[in-house]
Amino acid sequence: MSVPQDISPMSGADAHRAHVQPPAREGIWAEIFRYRDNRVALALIVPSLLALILVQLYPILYTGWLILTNEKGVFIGLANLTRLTSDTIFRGALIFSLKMAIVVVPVSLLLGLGLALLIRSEYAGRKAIWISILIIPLMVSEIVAGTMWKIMYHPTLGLVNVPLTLLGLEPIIWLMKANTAFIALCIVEVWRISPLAFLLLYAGLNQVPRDIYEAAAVDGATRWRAFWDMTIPYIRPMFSIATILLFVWSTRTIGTIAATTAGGPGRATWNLSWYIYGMSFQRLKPHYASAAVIVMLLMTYIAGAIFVKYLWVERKQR
Amino acid sequence: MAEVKIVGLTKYFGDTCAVNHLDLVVKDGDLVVLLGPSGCGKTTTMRCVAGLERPTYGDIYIGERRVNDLEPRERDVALVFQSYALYPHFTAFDNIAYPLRLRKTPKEEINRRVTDVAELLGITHTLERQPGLCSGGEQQRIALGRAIVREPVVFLMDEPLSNIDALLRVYMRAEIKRLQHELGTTMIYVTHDQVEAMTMADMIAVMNQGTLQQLGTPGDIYDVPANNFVARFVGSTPMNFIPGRLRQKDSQTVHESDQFVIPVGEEMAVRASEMCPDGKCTLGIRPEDIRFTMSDEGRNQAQVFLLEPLGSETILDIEKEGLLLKAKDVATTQIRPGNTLSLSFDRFHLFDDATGQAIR
Repeated sequence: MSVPQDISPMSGADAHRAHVQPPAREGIWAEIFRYRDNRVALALIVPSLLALILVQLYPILYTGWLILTNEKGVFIGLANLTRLTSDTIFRGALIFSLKMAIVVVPVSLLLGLGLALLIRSEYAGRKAIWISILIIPLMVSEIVAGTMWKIMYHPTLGLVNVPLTLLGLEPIIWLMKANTAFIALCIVEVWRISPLAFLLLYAGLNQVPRDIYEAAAVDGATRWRAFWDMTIPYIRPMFSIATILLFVWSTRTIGTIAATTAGGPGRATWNLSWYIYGMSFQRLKPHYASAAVIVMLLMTYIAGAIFVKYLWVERKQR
Repeated sequence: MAEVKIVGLTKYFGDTCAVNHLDLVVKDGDLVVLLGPSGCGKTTTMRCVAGLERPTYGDIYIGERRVNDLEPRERDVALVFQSYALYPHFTAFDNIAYPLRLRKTPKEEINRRVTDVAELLGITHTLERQPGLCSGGEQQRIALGRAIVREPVVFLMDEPLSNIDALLRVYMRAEIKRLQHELGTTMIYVTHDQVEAMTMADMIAVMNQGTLQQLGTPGDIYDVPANNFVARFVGSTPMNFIPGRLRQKDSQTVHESDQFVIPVGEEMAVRASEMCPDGKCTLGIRPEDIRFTMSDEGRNQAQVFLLEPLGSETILDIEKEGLLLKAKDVATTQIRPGNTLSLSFDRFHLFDDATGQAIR
């Protein structure tokens, strides 16, 4: 069965002669300046481009200069970076940041996915109301969130201990011990960033066409099977974006730590941001702290690259 | 392969009644077309059969089984959606193979069956592509392939041809009919296109506003419409309707309208007097049944005001005192706008104005 598709309005010979050659390639700038809408676009982009250079590129270059010099402004090469390798406080902060990310990111993703599925289901009712309630943590500043949770974790007044004392258990002094402080901070972080996962994954879920679920149901798929075969492949790119963002958010957090434990007890809850903050503004060593900034940047970048590589599977052929 | 029996099917969406007490039996191996305008309940009926909607009242049987409480996957029906609903992240091959994979078919058999189906439908070259990279017609055939590969007991088609271009539609219409005959599988086909219905169906079920208007062969539906809705809906150049009333004139019954006086046969007159005592009825006549001669004599004269040449034939638009009629003539017609024709009406239908039912 074949249907003739190439019906040209011109007779055969003429049709071939109409456009003998493709137009000559122009340079990108010639292309841009040739059309008025492109020129307008350029004029509109340039100011924000300059602003970007000012606020992004300049600090990055300045940081680079900071790393290579000491507090007196003398060039010392990579000495700041090598010093980091033997800095146990830095290592502790790095490990704490990673530990927290390893707990917080998967928990937030699962929670976000669960909420997204729940809100998208037909039982959710007024979705807009649910969504606006669920994203409240996103709109609260880190310090406010931290302060609120600090009150919640208060040994005698806090809401968190109420069920424990009601059950006759000893109230837990959450923020005063290293282990419980870690758990407490993880809970705060999950509360703070899982709405982001929810929002992204909900947006991803909304891109799944509904009719393919019906097709899958008729084809013989159970709901569970359809979730794995239809939903997961569809939200996978969104999932990897969410993972990267959540990782960045959870490692760079500083306000919640400042407001709850202030790095304590001891240095048990120092993460990288807190370390950098302390190093530059309390010990006044911005040059040394800049080296830690670069390490943090690299860590985030490498993690992001890994997530993209293993999670962002383009819709591939089997 | 199985018979589908729909008994007293009623479906409400909130307060809206989409299907109203529908009874329909689709015989084993038949191709039944549900025909009707949008919103007539035809798709809802089919979705109830597929299990995607729950009937409010009534029962659906596939074969001997009552399927009301069965999940779609337990009914062994295949559905081709209007939107095709292909899995965009699968290749065409995986799309077709998916129902088989769900049934844990061995890999070699999947390969064999998918290849066979693809060959049958002429889409072998698309198998490695994703649906998004295929043309509309190819997508449509992939969807068809996904339905036939698993050899279901019933095919359900929800306007599968409405999204492809007119030329291809004519091909696919025949193709689907041929496939259905070859496979011998019961098929319910939903469409609003009466040409599709006429050309494909073994039986047509015409629906309107959730109720079944008429069930019959294409010939019956066309020649013996049960009511004025069916008469109006079926026929690519629609039937002409002349409102009027029945009268006795010179010991003969005539249908008298503002424009024409048309003699009614004796048998029909008797039936009309029983069914429609007040005599108010509308006369319906198909364009091809209007006979005409170029002459100024005769009772029923009218003027041609427009020609619609279709290539194979010409539609004459005839007007008399505000009433518009369409008649058919050969392509090489000598009639020109402005000519006066003398019309005669032999084969026509009468519809009771009160109920819309055909008088016969």
